[in-house]
Amino acid sequence: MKLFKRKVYISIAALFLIFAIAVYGNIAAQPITLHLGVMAGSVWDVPESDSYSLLDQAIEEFEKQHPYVKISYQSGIRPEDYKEYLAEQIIMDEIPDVLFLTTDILSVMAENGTLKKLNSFIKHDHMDLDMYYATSLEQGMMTSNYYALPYESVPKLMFVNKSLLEKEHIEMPNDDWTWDDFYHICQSVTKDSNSDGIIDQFGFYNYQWEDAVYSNGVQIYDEVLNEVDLADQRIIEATEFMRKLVALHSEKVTSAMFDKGLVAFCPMNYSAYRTYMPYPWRVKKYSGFEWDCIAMPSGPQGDNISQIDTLMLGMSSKSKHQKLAWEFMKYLSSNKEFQTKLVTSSQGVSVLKEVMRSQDVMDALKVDNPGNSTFELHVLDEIMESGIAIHQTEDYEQIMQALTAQMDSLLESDQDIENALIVLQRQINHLLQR
Amino acid sequence: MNMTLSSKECMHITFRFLAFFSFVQALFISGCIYVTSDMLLSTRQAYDFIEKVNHIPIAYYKVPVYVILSFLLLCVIMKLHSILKETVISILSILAIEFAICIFLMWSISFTANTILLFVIANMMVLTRQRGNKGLSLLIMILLYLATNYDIISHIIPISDYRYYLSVYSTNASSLLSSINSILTTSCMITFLLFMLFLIQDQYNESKEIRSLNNELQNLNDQLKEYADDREKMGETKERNRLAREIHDTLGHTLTGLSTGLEACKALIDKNSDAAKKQLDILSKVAKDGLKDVRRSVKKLRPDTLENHSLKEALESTIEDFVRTTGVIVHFICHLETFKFQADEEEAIYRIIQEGTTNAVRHGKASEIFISFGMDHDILIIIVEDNGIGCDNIQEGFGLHHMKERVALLNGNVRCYGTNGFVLIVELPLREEERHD
Repeated sequence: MKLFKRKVYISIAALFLIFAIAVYGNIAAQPITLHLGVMAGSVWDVPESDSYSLLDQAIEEFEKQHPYVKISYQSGIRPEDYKEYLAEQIIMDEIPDVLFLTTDILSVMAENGTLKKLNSFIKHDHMDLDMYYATSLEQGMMTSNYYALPYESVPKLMFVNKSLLEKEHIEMPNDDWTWDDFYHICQSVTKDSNSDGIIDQFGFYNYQWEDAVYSNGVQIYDEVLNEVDLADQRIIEATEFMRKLVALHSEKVTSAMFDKGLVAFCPMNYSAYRTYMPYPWRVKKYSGFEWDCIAMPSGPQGDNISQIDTLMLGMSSKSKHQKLAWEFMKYLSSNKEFQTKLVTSSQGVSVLKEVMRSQDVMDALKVDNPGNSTFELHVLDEIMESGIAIHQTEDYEQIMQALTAQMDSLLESDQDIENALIVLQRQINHLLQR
Repeated sequence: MNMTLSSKECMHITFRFLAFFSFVQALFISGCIYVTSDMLLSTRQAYDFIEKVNHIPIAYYKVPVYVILSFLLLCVIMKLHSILKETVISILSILAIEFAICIFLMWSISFTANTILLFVIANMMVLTRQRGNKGLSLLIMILLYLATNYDIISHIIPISDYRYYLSVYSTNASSLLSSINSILTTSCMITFLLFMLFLIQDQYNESKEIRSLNNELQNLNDQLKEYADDREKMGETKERNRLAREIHDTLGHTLTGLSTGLEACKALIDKNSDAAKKQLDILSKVAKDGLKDVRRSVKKLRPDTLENHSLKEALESTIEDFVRTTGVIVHFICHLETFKFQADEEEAIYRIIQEGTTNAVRHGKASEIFISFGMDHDILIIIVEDNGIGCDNIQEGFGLHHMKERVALLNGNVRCYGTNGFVLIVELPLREEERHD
């Protein structure tokens, strides 16, 4: 009787095991489907008509190369809903194998282990990382680990109101212009043009303190040490320059003034330039004046450095087909043909140096631009080389909030800049250490 | 007896409670995870939540299912544990399986509670009988229990704290939920402690009972010993009686006859010396017969070494056995015409050969032994010689001493030399008249 009972229990345990193996085997026998997390439209906050067509071509090509693989994605997720969509997928444990990432999503998902570290894949494939722009690649790194491959970058450029400069008989600045050039132009265009006692023409709109800091060759936040160094001489210089610049405007410049063509300069993303410069958007926006883009002005110790934002591709750490997911990511990120198609039909800059240096790509881009745009596209390569990547981690967001809250009053008052910055630095570092 | 029963019962009741509390706690936590996640999804707060948590191990809707399934599986394995035979390997492997299931269960609830391990420990304490196994398993489980604490394990595997789930709710609601969890944890702890208390009590009772049984057994043993002593004494008396009877029957009979015969002779010798001589002849025959009877009696009392065989057969079989067991080559040379001796002599010879060969191997490490029998007039000469290491300074052990004594009783002597191998020479004078008997 006892023996019989023992047999019964052993067979129950064995059945459990067989059942588990059978279920696993059944799953393994299905054709492989890779899920892709992608948003509809442009992540760069510009209109885009057919955002999936390029991706569909890539998928078709990849599926041709890997016959047993199907790649699927959920369409129609707007960029503003994308974060929420990914978070829901995480909670339901259905995170896509490959997902598009912006820098803020990347920092969250790298920290909570959703993303797979790519170091071993890169090492295994002996991947030549020099083919990427260092800034684009760096954006996918957290604490010296690779979490994402770059897909498409967008540098910050300076929008110039050509009509306004012409009216004031000022020559269009070169791509290696400096803060001094910037200041002098702003100074000379800021005036009361119709002599009604109110200043109605302005130098700049939306040029931020951090734009000045970065173009003076310095970063605000050290991720490794987890602290800010605001007492740096270059930051002090940038702050002094900003105070001079802000002093030119006696009243607040709004976006409406900019749209009406009353402002000479405004930082603008390359994506906006790509969207609004060609027909038909050209007619719909900024139709009252001629405009163009140039590099950001350089500080005395820096260069014409822009902030570069990058859209990236990451892999789920729970993906069951990591090898394939990696192959697909690599295809999107480093395939020259695909990247060439991307740069000509999308609003970003390719992350591959070779693509951006190819004459064919330059010619194709030029076709889109109207004849009177003088922006030299080869400058993009220089901007990409010298640009900096900002990791929008939670800490960074916190720092910027604390800084902007106090920077306005510092720029508008005549407080001692160095002292004020040291106090601010102490406050922020204290906040970071908590 | 009543006491033992009640502590055992209490143990079983607390064990059930422990199972209940640990299961309810796991279920409660999985329920919280399920409901909270579901609410996050429906109110579109998922990203805010994801920003805070460290890691989401599994899909939220699978958590309660995993908890229930793994708890059921754990119960089946525990049942298996109670049926299987107890060996160190079976205990450790069952324990490993149980622990793996527990880890899975705890992992699905983000290691918020590890009280399920207390349940497993309790089960193991009941089922493991051997003290050594019990100690080892208890040590392992306690270490695991400590290691699976959230604060420790969260450094090893990426998991997210249950508190993040609670942070979604209002302060009141979250403190209510976390206090329910604490109450369940505390209940598990208390039931576990009570369980251990009853277990100790039970074991104490059991060992007390064993001790009293042991005492009883000791008493019985003593009685048995006394009884055995009595039996031995009785045997001795019986044997003595037999001897007395034997002596009485043989010697008594003969001596009585002799003494009366001799008395008659005394009276006759003067009157009729011829008749007296005749009478003495008769008496002499009676004495010889009596002696034969005595011999027969003594033979009956002899140990059975040579009883069933002749000396020659006995020697041959001993040597054969010896050769077979030790692998030594034995040469047996006999220069005698007959091989018949008196019983006491036979026994002495037999012992000498036995002792001599044994010594040659044991002390001399010999590989070849020569045994020869020869006669010099009426003296039997036995030589046992070997090719072993010999011995410069002969230390007389018990065997040799005993042999000398035995030979001396028969008026013989023993000599031995250890310079070139070991040589043992025994001279044994044989009793002439009996040889031709």
